Amino acid sequence: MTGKRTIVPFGPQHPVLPEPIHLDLVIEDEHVVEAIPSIGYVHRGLESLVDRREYSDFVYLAERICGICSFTHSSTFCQGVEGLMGIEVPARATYLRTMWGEYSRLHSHLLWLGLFADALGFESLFYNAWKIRESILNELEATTGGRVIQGVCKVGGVRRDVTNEFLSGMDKRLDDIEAEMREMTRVFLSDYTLKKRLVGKGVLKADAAYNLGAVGPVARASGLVEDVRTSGYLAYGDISFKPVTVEGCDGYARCEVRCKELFQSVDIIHQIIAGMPEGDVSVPVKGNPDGEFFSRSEQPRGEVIHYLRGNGTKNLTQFRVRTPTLTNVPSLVAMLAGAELADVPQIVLTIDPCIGCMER
Amino acid sequence: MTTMEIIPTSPAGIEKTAADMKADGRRLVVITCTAAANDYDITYSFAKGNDLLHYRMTVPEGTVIPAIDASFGGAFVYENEIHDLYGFTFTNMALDFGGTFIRTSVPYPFKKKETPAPTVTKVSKEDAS
Repeated sequence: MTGKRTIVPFGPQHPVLPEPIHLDLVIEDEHVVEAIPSIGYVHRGLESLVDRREYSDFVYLAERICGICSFTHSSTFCQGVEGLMGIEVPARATYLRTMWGEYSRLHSHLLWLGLFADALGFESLFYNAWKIRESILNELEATTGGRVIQGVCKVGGVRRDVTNEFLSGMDKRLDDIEAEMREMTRVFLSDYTLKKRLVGKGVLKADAAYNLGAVGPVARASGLVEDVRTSGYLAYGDISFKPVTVEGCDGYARCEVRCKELFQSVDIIHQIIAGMPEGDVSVPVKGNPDGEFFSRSEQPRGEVIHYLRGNGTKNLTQFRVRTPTLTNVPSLVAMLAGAELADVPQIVLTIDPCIGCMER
Repeated sequence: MTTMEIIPTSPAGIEKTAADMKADGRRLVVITCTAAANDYDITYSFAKGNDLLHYRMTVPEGTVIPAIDASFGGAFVYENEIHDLYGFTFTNMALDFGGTFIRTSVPYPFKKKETPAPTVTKVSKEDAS
C-alpha cells in the first residue's frame, strides 16, 4: 500500500449499467476504500402526479415506475387503494395477481442472469437466459396482452380472466421451462470463471445487512429471512413455500438465491394453478379513498412500499414509493469497501440495481 | 376512512426512538416525508418480521432534524432524499451529500409551493369590440 488515494468515477454511463448511477470510488492502490453514490439522473417525480390523476387512472402510472417490476407496482398500488377503501378482491383475482407476480419474478431474475453473464463476457449463457425469458414473456403476453407493461391490474381485481384450459397448458409448459432453467442454472452455479468472479466478492455479513436495511435476494443471500410474501398477502397465505436463504454473504450467494428462486416461483405457480378458485375476477368499486395506507409487496428485488393518502376525493393527495434498490444502496456501499477495483462492476450488478425504479 | 396506528414522536425524541427500535430487533423500513395540511409529516417505519410500526413527527418547513444513522446505518439514503426533495436539514448523517444525492433541475421540487394568483388577461375595449 502506498497510502496515496485517488478518486475513480464509475458511471453514470458504464458498460455493465443499463441505467445511470454514479459512484465516486476512493481508491488506494487497486482497492476501494470508500464508494460514494449519487443518483438523480432519471428522477421523474412520478409520485407528485398523484393529485392530478384519478386513483383509478394512476394504476397505469404506478405500473410505469419501472419496466421490470411493472406488474408488482400496479398490484401494490391497487392493494393500497383497496386497503384504503376496504374493498375485498375476489379470490380468483388474488390468485391471478399472485401468478402474474411470480411470472414477473421469473422474467426479472432471468433478465438479471442474462445481463450478468453478458457483463462477464459469457455471451452464450446470456442468450440462453434471455431465450428462456422469452418463453415467460410469451405466457405474460398470452394471458395479459402485454409483455412488459401488462395493464391488467385494476382497483377491485383484474381486467382479464384466464380460462382453466389455458392455465393447464401453462402448467405443462412450465415443466419444459423448468428443465431449461435447470440446465442453465447448473452453469451459473458451477462454472469455474463465474465462481472465480463471484466467490468472496462483495461480502455483506448478516448483521451489516440487517443494520443497513437490506431487502430481497441481497438480504436472503446474507442469511436473513426477509420476504414480505411470508405475511400472506394476495394468495401467498394459501401457498406452501419457504424463503430461499443462503449463508454465503457474497456475490455468488446472491446469484445462488436468484437461481433457486426461479424454481421456487415455478413451484408457487404450479400451486396457484392447482388451487385456482372459480368466480369473478373483479368487484364494482364505488366511492373514493379516504385515510392513509402503507402497502407492501415482495418484488423480484425485494420489499417495495407504497404509501397512499386520500381525502375522500377521486384524487389521492399523497403517494410515496420506497423501492428495493434504494434501500439496498447502503448495502452496496458496504460491499464495495475493500473490494478490488476490477471487481466493482460485477459487485454492483449483484444487487440487481433497478435505477428507473429507484428514481421514480 | 382507513386509519393506521401511528405513534407521535418529535425531532427531540427520534434518536431515542430509533435506538429503542434497534434494541427491539427492528429494522428501518423507510422514512416517508409527505406534505400535510399546514406542515409536513415525517414517518419512520420499523419492521420486525411482518410487523410494521410507524412513528410520525409533524414539523414545519425548515425544521432541523437529528439523523438516526447512529442506530440504522442505512438511514442516510432517506434523509438525503428528504433533504433534496423537501429541503429539510438532518444533522449528523453518516453520509451527507450536501444536496447532490438526487440532482433535480429545480431545488426541493416536492416542497409546498404558494398557490399562484390566478392570471387575468386584460382585453382592451378596441379588441373587445
